[in-house]
Amino acid sequence: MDPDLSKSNEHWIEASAATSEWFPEKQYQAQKTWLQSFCLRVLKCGPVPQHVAFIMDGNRRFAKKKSVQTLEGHSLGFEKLAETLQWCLDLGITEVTVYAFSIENFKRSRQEVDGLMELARKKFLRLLEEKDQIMKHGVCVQVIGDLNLLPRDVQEVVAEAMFISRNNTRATLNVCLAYTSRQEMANAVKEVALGVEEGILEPSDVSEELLEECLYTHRCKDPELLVRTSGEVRLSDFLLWQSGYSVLSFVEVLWPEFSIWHLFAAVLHYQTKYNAVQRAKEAMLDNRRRAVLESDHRCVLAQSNTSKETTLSDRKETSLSDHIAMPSNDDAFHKRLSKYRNDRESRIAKFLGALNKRREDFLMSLLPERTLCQIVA
Amino acid sequence: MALDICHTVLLHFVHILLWTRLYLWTLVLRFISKPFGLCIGERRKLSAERCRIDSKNLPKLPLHIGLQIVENRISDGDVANLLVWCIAMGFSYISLFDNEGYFKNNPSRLRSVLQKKMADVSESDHLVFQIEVPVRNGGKCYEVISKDTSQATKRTRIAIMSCEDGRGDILDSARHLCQDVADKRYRASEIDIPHLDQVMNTLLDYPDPELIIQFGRVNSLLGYSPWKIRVTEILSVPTHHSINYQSFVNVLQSYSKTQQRFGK
Repeated sequence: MDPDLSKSNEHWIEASAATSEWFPEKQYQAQKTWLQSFCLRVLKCGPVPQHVAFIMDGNRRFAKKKSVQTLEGHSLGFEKLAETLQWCLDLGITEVTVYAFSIENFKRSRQEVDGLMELARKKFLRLLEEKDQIMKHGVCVQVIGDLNLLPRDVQEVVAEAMFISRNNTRATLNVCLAYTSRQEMANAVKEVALGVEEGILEPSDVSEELLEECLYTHRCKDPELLVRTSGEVRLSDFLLWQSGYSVLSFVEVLWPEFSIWHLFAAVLHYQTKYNAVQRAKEAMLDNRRRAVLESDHRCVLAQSNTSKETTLSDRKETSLSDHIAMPSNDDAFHKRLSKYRNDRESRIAKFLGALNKRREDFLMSLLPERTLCQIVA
Repeated sequence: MALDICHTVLLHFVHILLWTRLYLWTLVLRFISKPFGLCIGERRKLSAERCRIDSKNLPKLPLHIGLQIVENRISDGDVANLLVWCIAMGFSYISLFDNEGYFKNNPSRLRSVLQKKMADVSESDHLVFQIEVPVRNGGKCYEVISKDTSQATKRTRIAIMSCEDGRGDILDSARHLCQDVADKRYRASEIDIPHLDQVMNTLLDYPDPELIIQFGRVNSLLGYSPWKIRVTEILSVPTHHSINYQSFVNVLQSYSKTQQRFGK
């Protein structure tokens, strides 16, 4: 490679980094005080959450307070988000999920909804322009929600951002657009039911893990810390399933006023609750594994009962509890059980393969013509 | 290396400091506010009528209140007190949640403690409650009723829940729907939010709680039913041990100040 060219290329990257809207790294490093670096190092000695979710509430109230336009408030909110991402990267938080737009927000005035959609389109376009920054930080961008509800031009940029960053693994940014948790859960149930309808799955194959694989967030870990600004103390239909074992931190300030100190305080809050939450989480995972084992037992017993056509229902009851209470010595039963387990796992693998294929196809269908042409070329 | 150790020590020091602050605050609530509460008029026996009047004075009250106990030691008496105040205030639905299933394992013990505490409150003869324990895997709901009442009086329904009733409810509903789909009673494409909500309601037909009070120092839902808490206000109290009536009313007051916009 021509050294001059690579040098000028580097220079160009430097220049764009200086003005990067999504990754204001330079700005952050310049503003970072000695005290901040010190606190950062101290905090990093304890457990730091890998995944933090933010409900960025209070942009409109901030705009009102400063007597500026509502949309101006939302823009300031975006700037704060970019700043927060830098803080998180510096702290070692590798995954961030933000609640940008709820399905309920479509109820707002036409003007505001259009303004917000335009803001999203512009910001994602900008993100595409800053592609080298995405690649440099290794950020995988995912947009979570019912993308069908978004206008076509927003769908295109969003899909492109997801497509170009899909193989990045160092950090993840999940943006919830046109999202509500209930819609997500209902959709997951629907996906599973479709699998049953097509004959790939049995109803007894449905488990908590399987439902999780069908959520929009199937590629994410559950958030360990959930921060909501503006002093409201509810989740407003955000990651209800996933935040079951997250530490909740409700912060009084409005989102544009959120500072690195608030983030530090939230992480400290998380650290003091860490052990108790971890214990509950492990107990939950144990229960979950046991539930799957029990379900397998029940299914195998039901199978053998129907094949032998035993009508003694009370015998079935006692044998079921016996088998669950202690491992049976019955070899034949064990063989049937492991066969059943293998069958179930292969059914689930087949179902998930089909589901992921459908997801990929959907993403491709949203991509704009020009990108598709490039991929084919 | 030495610097790292210094940082770790400092962090532990900060953690201990925070823990001590919270612990002292809990002690203040337990041992100082109680006698103080007695001084300012709790000496008199609490009457159901006073609870009713206090609830009338609040601008906004939940129809369904969730009490989440996340503490290692659970005091039956204090939980029973909380329930009695809720019943006397006329809430229609109460969910009592602890993630390990302490109450769920023995609902009749809760009933007897509850009846004893109820007797301590004057004018409480007309109060009727019903304890329900939702059972997983399609089992029947277990119910105990405080007294036999044939006449149609208003009764408070109390559901006892543990962490398995959270995501588990959704799982059961999903399996139920999948069975219906397998039996060709439904088409999978018909499944949507109202539909799933309807199936969830057949497991336990309570409305969504408007308020959850978390007792304990862990600010986490620990598996509280995810489907139901869409717009629920979550308020936190450091401990339920020796909680007095006035502090409970204060929590309800801070709830009644909250405002919801429902996305608008």
